[in-house]
Amino acid sequence: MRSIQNRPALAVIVALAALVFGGASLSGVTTLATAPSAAAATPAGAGQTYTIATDTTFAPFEFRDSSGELTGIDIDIMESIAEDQGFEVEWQSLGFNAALQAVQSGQADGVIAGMGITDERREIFDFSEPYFTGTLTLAVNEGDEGEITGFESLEGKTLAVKTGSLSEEEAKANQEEFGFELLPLDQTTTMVESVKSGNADALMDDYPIIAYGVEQGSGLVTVGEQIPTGDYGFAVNKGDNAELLAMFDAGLAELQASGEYDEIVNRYLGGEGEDDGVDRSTFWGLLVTSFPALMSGLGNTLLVTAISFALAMVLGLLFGFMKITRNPVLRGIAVTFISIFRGTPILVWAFFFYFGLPQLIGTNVNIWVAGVLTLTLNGAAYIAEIVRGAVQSVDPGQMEASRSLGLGYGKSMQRVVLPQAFKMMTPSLINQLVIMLKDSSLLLAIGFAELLYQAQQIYAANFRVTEVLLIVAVIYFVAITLLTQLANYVDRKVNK
Amino acid sequence: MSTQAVESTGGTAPGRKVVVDVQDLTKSFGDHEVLKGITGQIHEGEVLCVIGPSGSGKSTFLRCLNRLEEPTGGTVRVGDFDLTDPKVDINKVRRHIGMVFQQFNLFPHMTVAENIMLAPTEVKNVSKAEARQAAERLLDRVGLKDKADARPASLSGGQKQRVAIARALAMSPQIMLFDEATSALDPEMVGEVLQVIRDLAVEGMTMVLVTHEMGFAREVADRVLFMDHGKIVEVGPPEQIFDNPQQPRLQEFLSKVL
Ligand SMILES: Nc1ncnc2c1ncn2[C@@H]1O[C@H](COP(=O)(O)OP(=O)(O)OP(=O)(O)O)[C@@H](O)[C@H]1O
Ligand SMILES: [Mg+2]
Repeated sequence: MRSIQNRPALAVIVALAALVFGGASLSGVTTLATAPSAAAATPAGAGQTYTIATDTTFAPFEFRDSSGELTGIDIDIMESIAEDQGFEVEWQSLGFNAALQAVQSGQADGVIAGMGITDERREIFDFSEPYFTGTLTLAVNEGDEGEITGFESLEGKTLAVKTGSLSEEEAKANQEEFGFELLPLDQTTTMVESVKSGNADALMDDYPIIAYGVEQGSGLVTVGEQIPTGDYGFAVNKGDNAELLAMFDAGLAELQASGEYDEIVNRYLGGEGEDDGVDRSTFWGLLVTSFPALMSGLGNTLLVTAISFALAMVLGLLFGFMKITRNPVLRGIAVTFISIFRGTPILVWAFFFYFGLPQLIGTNVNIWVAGVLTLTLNGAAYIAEIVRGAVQSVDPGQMEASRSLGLGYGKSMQRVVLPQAFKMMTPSLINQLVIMLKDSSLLLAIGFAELLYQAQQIYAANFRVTEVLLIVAVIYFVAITLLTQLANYVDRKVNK
Repeated sequence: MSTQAVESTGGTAPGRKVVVDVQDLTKSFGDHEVLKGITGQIHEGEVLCVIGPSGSGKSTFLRCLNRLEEPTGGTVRVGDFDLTDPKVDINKVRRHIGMVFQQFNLFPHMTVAENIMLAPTEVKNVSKAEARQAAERLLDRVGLKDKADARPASLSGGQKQRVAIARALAMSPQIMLFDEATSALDPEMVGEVLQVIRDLAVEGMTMVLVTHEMGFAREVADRVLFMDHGKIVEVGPPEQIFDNPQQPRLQEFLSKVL
């Protein structure tokens, strides 16, 4: 990563981006219309549309399936209840904290996001009846379940837990008695990887998350008794939307009575799987099920790179020439532009354009616009340097010979210097194109659905990090190799 | 040691049209004064050879004649144009002044014919076909008729320099400037280039040649100009300069190079 220069203006921008990133209030809004039920009694609020906020990825409660649709236990329960009670749901997939804020500020009517019912939260929200009971579970590598059956068989072994969570608390409480080592880690994915790689012998984490991973072929199995941690509830702002809460409770009771509730939960945790005849636990199964999402990611990666590169070429040529003109103002502008964008990380600009700029101009910035701006301006700075370098590396005698024949500066550039400069810069430009394609993966940080983002979404749900990344690496490799071949071919045709 | 230039009009036909008129030309690079007041004229059909030690300012002087170097002071007139007038359209003036460089400076991305056709088609709006015909005639003149469609990279040094001469001639200049046109050549190729220049002299082309080839200077020059430290030390017909030099510095220079 390129280093950030210590400039006050930049510090402000970085701070701004960080600030805004924390309280993001813009994200995908999905409408999923639900037909009103023909049920006899019509509750208050029926026929209305409610905006329900939720997390982005918290599998199996909410996540995006391979076609990018919002799905999960929370989503299915909410929609079944809506159908039963005859109201409609408009989803806002915001991230956990942003979802809570959205309800508090009245932008959303309710939140369902695998949210535990706690006394602190009761002060701010009204909760429904619990719709799910959270539990912790131990998990080990497939094949170790005979050896490790609970805390009692962990003596001398290493247990991965999530830093600062209930799993760490619970494990610490049992550590003395059973004599195991703790390995606190930040993310479930890392915990799963540690167990799979043998750095830890077992892990302890939320049961639904682990069980869904098992379902998706994570290669682990759950063992031992589950330890209850608390209940999950649907919440509305305290004192608001009482009829919505009432409908939720009534609908939930209906679902539980009819068995639909169990059906939904089993769909994600019960070992039934999506019934499409694909065995997800194999590599082939993973490849088949993740391919559509990865391909749409690749499409976005290629498109955003192509648009950005074309624009960066135009800007880069402009700034490259400005840097070698004799006009000090133009040269100053070019030098400033180039040093700013070469001297700052791409991520800063991605955050700035997507989260900071909307605050300054008072209107949302489309994620494509933000992504293209980021890659274009960064690329243009590098291309400007490539252009300048190539033009300056053409023997000055060429310009002199042309000028001595009576051709003007512009004509001499166009007919004599530039054709030679272009020939010289094509390898560097191809290189820049490849760099830009790889840099486009940084846009995942603002939620741009490019290739690596799609991969993250997939392994955040199934924990098959290594395999998914391997697939993604191969896709990048093939794409970049083909692109380089194509560029070299064009180069040979044009610059023969 | 006198710094007074010794002028001689012998060898130039008086009354001939003045092509180049230089008055008190000075040129500095920063604090470094490279030309310290050059005055003189070149007449139509005249061949002037400029000699002098390395760093004496020969190239700088030549390049001031087509404003590849911007004069610091004085005036330079070529034909009807005052080059030192800021309002002059320098591109227009340069059409009348051909220049040949030590390093040839052919355009490597063009064929030989395209090198020669570039200026006539771009500057004079001559049609491609006409320019091509003219290019072939010029190539014939420098003995390279069969190289029209070759790339410069495939030519020998001597061939490259002959193409460069043809390229300069394509604009039918009033005067040709040569800056050590044979210095970058292998010895066996010097002759073929000098022959082309000799032919031009015979045809009556006005030329200024910066050269280290003393024998050639003696043979083709109408006048020889000796420069040292940015000044004209002595100028006169070749017989005077080479056989009867007046200035001690010229005598010393000739004793080293001859
Ligand atoms: N662009 C420039 N910037 C600074 N100094 C220069 C520049 N061009 C030439 N000079 C200096 O001017 C002086 C004269 O250079 P010039 O090339 O005219 O000499 P010359 O007589 O042609 O020498 P040579 O026989 O080596 O070609 C030299 O001291 C040289 O270093
Ligand atoms: Mg020189």
